[in-house]
Amino acid sequence: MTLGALLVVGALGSASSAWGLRRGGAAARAGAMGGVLALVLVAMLAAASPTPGSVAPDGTGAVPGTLWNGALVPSGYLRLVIVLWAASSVVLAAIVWLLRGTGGLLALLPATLAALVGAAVSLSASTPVLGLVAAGATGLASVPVVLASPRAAAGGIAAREVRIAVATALVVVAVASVAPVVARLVLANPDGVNSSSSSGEAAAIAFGLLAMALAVAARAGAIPWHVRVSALTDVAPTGSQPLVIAWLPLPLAAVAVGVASGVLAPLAPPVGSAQALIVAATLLATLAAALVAYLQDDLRHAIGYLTIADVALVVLALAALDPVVWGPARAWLLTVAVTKTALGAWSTVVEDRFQTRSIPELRGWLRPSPVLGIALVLIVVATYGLPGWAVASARLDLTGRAAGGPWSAVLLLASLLTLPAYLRWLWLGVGTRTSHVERVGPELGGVGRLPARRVSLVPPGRGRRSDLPVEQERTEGPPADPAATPTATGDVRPGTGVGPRGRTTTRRAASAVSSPKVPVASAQLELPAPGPDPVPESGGADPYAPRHLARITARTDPTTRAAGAVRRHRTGVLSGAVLALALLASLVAFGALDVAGAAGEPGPTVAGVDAVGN
Amino acid sequence: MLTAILVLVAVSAVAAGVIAVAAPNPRHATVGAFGAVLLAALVVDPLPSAAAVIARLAGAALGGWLVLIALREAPSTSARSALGWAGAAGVGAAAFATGWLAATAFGATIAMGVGDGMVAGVPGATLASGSLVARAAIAAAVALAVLAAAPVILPRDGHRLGLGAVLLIAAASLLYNALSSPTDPGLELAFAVLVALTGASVAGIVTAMLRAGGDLVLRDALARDPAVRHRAADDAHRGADR
Repeated sequence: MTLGALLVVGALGSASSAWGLRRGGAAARAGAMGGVLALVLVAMLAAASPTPGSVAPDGTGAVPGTLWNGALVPSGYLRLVIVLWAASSVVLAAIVWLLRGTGGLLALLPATLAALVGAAVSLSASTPVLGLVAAGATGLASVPVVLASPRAAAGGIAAREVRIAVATALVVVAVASVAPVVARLVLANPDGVNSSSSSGEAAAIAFGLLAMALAVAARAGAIPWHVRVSALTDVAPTGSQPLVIAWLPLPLAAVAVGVASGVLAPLAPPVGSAQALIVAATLLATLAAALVAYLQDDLRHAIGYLTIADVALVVLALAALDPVVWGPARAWLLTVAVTKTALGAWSTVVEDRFQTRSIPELRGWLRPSPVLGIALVLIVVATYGLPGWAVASARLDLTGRAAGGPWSAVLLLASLLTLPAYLRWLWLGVGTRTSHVERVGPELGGVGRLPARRVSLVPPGRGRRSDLPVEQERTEGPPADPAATPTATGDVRPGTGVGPRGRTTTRRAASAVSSPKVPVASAQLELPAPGPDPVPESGGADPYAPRHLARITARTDPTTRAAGAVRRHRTGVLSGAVLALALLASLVAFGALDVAGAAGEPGPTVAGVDAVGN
Repeated sequence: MLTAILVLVAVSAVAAGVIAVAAPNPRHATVGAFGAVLLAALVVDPLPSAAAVIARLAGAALGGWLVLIALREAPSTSARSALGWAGAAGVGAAAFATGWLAATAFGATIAMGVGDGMVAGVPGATLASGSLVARAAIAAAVALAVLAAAPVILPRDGHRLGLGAVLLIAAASLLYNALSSPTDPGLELAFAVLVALTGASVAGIVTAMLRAGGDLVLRDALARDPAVRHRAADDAHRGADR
């Protein structure tokens, strides 16, 4: 019943947050709060979800602990995926709210909740076809995310998302439909699958394996299907990149690995050529993604390539055709998703803080942002792990079992070649500061200061090196007049740093500060205003708009004061949120929460395959 | 008699698929695609439960209705298949015949290979028993997949790409039902939800494309925004190493 409650809460939360956030004003705030509350509830319900030890029907024919008579069976892995996905989404939503206000949550919250519902069905399905159909529906969550972008190309990119979500799932559905029949043919042959009379069955299995590998690789965005990932990183609203490129491929990949390891692997078919082809293609795709990630100067694109390099590694689980890789593959998928969520949050905050997504323009970023630096180091550690960590074991298992001999070492080395991209960012971080980095204040400055300091007058001549980082931040803040914003997208232009909070507006704000005709205190009050909302909030005034800020500081409402305090210290809060996600990723990569154990338990899909042969 | 009717329904599903790819009017194409996915749900031996049929009917109706609403402002013609009516019908018929022959051969292989092990309810049992409905279902699945291939693999129109995805759903459900009958009501519900969500997604895409360009043509959506290049050229704050 807990699983049923989870599905209901997720679906209602998605619908209500979508309804509220589109209306703006008080309805948007209620929708945002409702969406976040639904995320928290989903996480709690997943954590409380029992995992039945047996899926056998009782005396009345009902299957206790499951939904629809055993069609959906909760499992430890499902619990872990939903808890971690929902928890990291809450932090991500907080980051987006601080950066873009409630308008920034317009697509993120409903899509995340809908995807959580779809993933819960997919990962708890007791038959692979049901899991795959649900995975296809889950993939459609990227469509509203893309359509939230005002770019003209969004419709075309969303159409391609429909194609990739539906077509890849249905290719695996076709394989999963035919595979049990072929398995029966193989098992009925007394000479076994290696006999010449079973060559047709072996060919069918090889064809099915290749088709599944193709579908999973395309869903993950592996090269040469990477172009849509670049487009996604461009159009996806702030903070939603981890959802569309790291989490949404998880259900399909997990169920596909279940089909390969649960139905095809026990037959031990002689399909070495197909396996070698998959290994070779994955090797090339990983190498290419690592190379492009290193050379790429666009931070968002680089993170997209790092993500697809890691997610695509799960294709090796199909090449292995070994039931043992079931656990490592699922553990890998989960750790990659959590780690890339932290990386996506880091990128979002860095892009906002330095007003650029050009990596060369971020030179020197580490000095004014030590917390973000620690977070990036933690993310790197979580990505590769240390000997004995869950992520390192999963990587070793995937690369080791997909190919034997020296090729496993080559695969392992190729999978580690994404490291130079991270090292490049860290190395750039200690270089001479660019103008983008030069003008930001210290990361943690202002923490512990009393709110009253915020409205104190500051001499205009204090300049960029002010000891009051809040005032310092104001000079790069958003324009007082949203109409002056050069773009309506809320996105910084690639490679330029020009955007709604970019240079054009920065100059205006800075000149406003230095001008003796402008009251300094009132100019300071513009600082905490959130970024421009994509959705006009016609239903009510933004409580953080400049003219209301003075009233906010004077109010006694604790919620409003807390929100105001968070806004005032948003630089530090944002870095802290990224650090929290990085810590979570490190814990998951380490193997906390028994990631390896939960991933390795017989999933409902595999159990269903064995039980009904379907 | 029932068998003949179900085979006819399978042929009708393929005909609806031909309409989806060949009709110049996007509204007619929409009705064809969602009609195909609805008819596909009926080609099962034994017949699906009433709940399964209602679920599929609701999913197809909801999805199709949303797309038709979104198409209210659309032009009266869109990028249909370059093959035209006759070409698309010919391709559909050829693929149906190929699928029929393949299903017959596959069924014979299963019957010969497994023999007495193919009891009712086992995957592939219906096909092995020589059921014409199962053969028609596989034939229709092949035909719909072939018809959907062009708009899905080489799309020229965002709306037709979405309809191609709907045809693929119909093909997948036909294939699964042919090999795995009796149908699972939970799975039928899942297919219905997938159809409805795909329809909603296509409706959103149609709306966005009409708002952006006034038509449904897929232009170079993956190209960079020209404004980006313009801004990059004017950048006053380039990094020293750029």
